[in-house]
Amino acid sequence: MDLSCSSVRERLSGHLERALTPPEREAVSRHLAGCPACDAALAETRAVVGALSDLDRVQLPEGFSQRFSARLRAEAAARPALEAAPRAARRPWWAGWFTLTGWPVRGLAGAAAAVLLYFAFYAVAPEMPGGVVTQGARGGATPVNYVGLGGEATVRIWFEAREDVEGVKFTLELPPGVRMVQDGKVVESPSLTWEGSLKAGRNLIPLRVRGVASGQWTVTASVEKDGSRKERSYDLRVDGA
Amino acid sequence: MTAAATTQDPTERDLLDAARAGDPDAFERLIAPCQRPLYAYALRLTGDPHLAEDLCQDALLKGYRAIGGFTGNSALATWLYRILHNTWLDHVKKSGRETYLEDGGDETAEEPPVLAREALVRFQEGLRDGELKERLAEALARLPPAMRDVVVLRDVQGHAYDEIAEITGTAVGTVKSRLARAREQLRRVLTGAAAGLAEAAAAEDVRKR
Repeated sequence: MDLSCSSVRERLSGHLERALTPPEREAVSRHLAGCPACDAALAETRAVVGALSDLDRVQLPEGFSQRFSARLRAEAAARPALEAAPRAARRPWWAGWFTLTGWPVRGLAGAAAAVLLYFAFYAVAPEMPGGVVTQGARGGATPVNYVGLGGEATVRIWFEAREDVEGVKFTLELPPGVRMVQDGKVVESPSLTWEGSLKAGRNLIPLRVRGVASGQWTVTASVEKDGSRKERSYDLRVDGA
Repeated sequence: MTAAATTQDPTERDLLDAARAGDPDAFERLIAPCQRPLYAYALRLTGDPHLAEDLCQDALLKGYRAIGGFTGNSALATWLYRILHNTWLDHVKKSGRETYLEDGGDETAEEPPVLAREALVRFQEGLRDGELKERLAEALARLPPAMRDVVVLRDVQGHAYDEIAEITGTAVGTVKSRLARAREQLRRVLTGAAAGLAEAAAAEDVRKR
């Protein structure tokens, strides 16, 4: 086939990327051999495409990640719940970071030397029975997480520790409408205490709770070590049947 | 009862499960490798670092909110690019008409003079690190949005065609034809600019004599 200049120009991109069919490529090459204008256009296009790839040498502006991190935390604090994935059968990513075994105990064994401890409490909204919940946008200032009456939820509590620390006391204070579930059984006590250790960095404790009475409730978790104590609260609504 | 803590590196799948449940730390770790390329995409689309940062972070936050619905059928990065693409388009619509370079159409009419061999070499060098390089970034930022989009994704960032099709929500054939027109447009603008620069330099020489 004999191609006009305009036909060749349309095919320059394809020619550059070796995407033309063999007869087309042959025809374009033949035209280019006898047409300085189109030949130059090919070389110029190649130069432009090459220069464009240099434009990818972009670095993140200084502070970008930190600024994003702050926005993300603000978003997470305002809207702690998203559509939760259906319950996964596999081990959650935080499993093994801190494991609660057995039943909670009251009282605390003697504490070791004082250790600096930073504690942040971050709770993720529950899953509805059946697995998926959508965070409703409510008119009030604080979005509320909810679970159905009789339904269960996993509340995840963050602890951030500056170093490994033992002999930490965790307390969970539950309101009348919310009870903890362990090994599939409701734990009757409204106040639960564990002794445990934290690893340096982030520690995450998942706790299974059930809505046992409808209403607007507050769950409080606290961490104590050598007299230094921090606590956080988490709002939970139990929807009546 | 004492609980022992052990550490375990989460896999991407584990992070995704946690991110879906609203965990910001997991989300941040998941998207960390995407931050720079996404920002680069936004920067080449807008030509404005502050706007690029805003659009990029807006898109990432939208990703955080919507990740519950991310099925994993495409790669996470591609999904985020698509969100950023849409976020940018919304911005373009809202900010009113910019002036774009005209889409060339049939080119044989107003063709700039063919660059001679030495001029071609100067053209290539100028594009690499001369004044033409700035002109290239400017010309890119003034391409019509649909054309700018595919040039940035293909020629600047090197995405595969089917990925570009997914990001932009168009067919591969459309991507390729837009790309060809965009490259031609840039070529014309830049060879014109090169000729202009050469003329100015020559005039300067004459003036100096």
